Amino acid sequence: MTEADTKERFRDIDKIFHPRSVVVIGVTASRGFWWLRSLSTFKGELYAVNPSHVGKIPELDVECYASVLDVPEPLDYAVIAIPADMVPDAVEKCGEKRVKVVSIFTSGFSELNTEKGFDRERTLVEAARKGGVRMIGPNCMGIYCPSMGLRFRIDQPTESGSVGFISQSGGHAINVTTVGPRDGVYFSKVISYGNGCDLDSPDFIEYLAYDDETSIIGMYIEGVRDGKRFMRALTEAAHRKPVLILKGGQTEEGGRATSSHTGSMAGSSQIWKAAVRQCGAVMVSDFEELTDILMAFYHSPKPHGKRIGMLSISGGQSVVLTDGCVKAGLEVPQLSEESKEQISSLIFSVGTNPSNPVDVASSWHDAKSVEKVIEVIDSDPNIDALLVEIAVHYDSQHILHIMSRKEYSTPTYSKLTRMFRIAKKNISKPLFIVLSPTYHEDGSLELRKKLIGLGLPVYPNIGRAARALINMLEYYERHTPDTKEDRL
Amino acid sequence: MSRFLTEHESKRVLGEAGIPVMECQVADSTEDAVRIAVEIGFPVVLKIVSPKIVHKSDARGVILDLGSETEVGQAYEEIVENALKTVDEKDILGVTVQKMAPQGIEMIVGVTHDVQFGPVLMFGLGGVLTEVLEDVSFRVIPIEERDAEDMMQELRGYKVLQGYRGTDPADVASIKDLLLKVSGFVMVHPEIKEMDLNPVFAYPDGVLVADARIIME
Repeated sequence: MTEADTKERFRDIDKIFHPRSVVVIGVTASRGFWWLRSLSTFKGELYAVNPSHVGKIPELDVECYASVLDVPEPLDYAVIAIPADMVPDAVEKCGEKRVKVVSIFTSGFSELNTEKGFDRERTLVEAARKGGVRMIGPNCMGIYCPSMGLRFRIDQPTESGSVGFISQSGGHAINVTTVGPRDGVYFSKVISYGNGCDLDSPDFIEYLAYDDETSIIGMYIEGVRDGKRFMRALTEAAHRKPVLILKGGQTEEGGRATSSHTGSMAGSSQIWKAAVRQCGAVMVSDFEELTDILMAFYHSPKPHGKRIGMLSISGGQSVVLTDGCVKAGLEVPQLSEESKEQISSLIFSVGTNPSNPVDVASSWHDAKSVEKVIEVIDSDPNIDALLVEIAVHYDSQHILHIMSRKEYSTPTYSKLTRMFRIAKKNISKPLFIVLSPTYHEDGSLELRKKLIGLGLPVYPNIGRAARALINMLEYYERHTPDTKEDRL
Repeated sequence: MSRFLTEHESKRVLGEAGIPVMECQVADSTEDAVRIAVEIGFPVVLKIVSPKIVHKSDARGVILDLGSETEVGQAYEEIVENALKTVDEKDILGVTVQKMAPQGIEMIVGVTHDVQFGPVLMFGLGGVLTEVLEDVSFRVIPIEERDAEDMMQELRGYKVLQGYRGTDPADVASIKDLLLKVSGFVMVHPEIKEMDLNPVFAYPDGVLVADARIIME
């Protein structure tokens, strides 16, 4: 597709993320004006609708009207949060007002799995078709697009990033956007699409696949209407950028009638896993793995192989690190003779060992040398990615406290942070950090924030770090430009 | 209402699609079974043919490795007798007679239908291990060459196909071809709801479907 074709293909859906004006239908003081306050960062014009609040809402400086038809200016996007039975009528009025897209927070539709719920959703779809309005939801949080200041919670960052996230669940859309900043992960566009009765997951997958502001796609999904269309969209997207999928609902389809052996062995979760893999996307097993792998893709350059070079302060820990890597499918090869010689000349205190993992022992406190050792590992031809394990109770500030009987104060880890800042600048391969458990949790948290701030992925144990790395590797292996497996 | 193709019907359509099957003939009497066995050569396998019996082994309708005319005659009687315990005489169409497949690596290839994704292909190493370890892999149909390779490599028991402790490796290219052909076969026959090719034997040169069952919409 040429750039012009892409623009044309996504013209309508692109408008969702770039409205000039937004109206919130159903503003309530009792809920602290949730939607209006979340949207207070919106860069266009913001209006409100509620017949019992007509006039200016003083604390928010937003004009409230009795009906959407009373708003004097054109409206591009509406958030609807009113009782379910009133929603179809509101959508119809949005049609009259030429609102392009509505996002419906209200629940009580097909997700109830009752006749009443299905009926309501049918009425809703008819109302939208009649008015030519596109819908997100119902039963959803709608859009978070920080570059436009569109949010669905006041604690969502105004800072933009490169992750696009699509969620069938509103809860997970909130979770991922509030966990992200902890890991230094920020978002381009987040869509909580709920029941997806009009715009559905494949629409958003296709859009984010071609969105220049999005370089990684994450997704939480429970089911799809049209599996084949979903797979086509996913294949197209995964070909262009990493796509991570968390599939919720591991239970089987109720009462699958089967007369074959094959049918009795085929669980829906296995088939989902196969389908996602078949499309070249990454299937994650739980929310923790989702955020772990997002963090890896977000911060790390592309790894070119599975050979890990590691550095730790303890011999025992080195053994455990190696086990963890091998268990995950990574390799821990010997460093080159040249590297070993260089490392031996940099660290030479008792207990150090220049093999892989490099055991720096008490040389840890010589930050300059440790930084040089990291550079040596980085330039070793036997190594594809680096991992440094830290337990803050070995940090020099803690050790000094013990040895000099100085008063203990929460360390700042400024020396360590400076060392990693230089290292990050000087190396070219991926560098992962494992911050091991410690009693000094306040210190550990402080250091984690600083390392995340440097753009380093930080994990609480080797297993999680290694799995994130191996998942990243597997994605890139499937999508190297010259392999025939790429289907597009 | 679904219906299923019996073994010899299934094998005929699969054979026509270029899938290597162990051919079988239907005998409707003891004498007929013996005549066929002599004609094709011992050892042979006898299996019940009935539109009412989907799971032949469960109905004790399969007897393997029959080495003589006497054994074939007795087996025929025994299989029919066992079948009569669960179905009427009119539902017994006879007994298939086929050559005993040489020992190879036992595999299962199957098709099932998923409500969201449509037809799905399954591959696994066969026999008891398939059921106990559930060491099987899936792909949504249609598959490509890359998927067929992944389906093999995803098995924990993949090493078994590569040859171990001095055994010859299985003909991986033929397995791949089989998976692609089954996928293609289902694409041109959307009326197929489920399918079991079980067992399928893999040899150092080629594969052979020893039993098959196709369930139609």
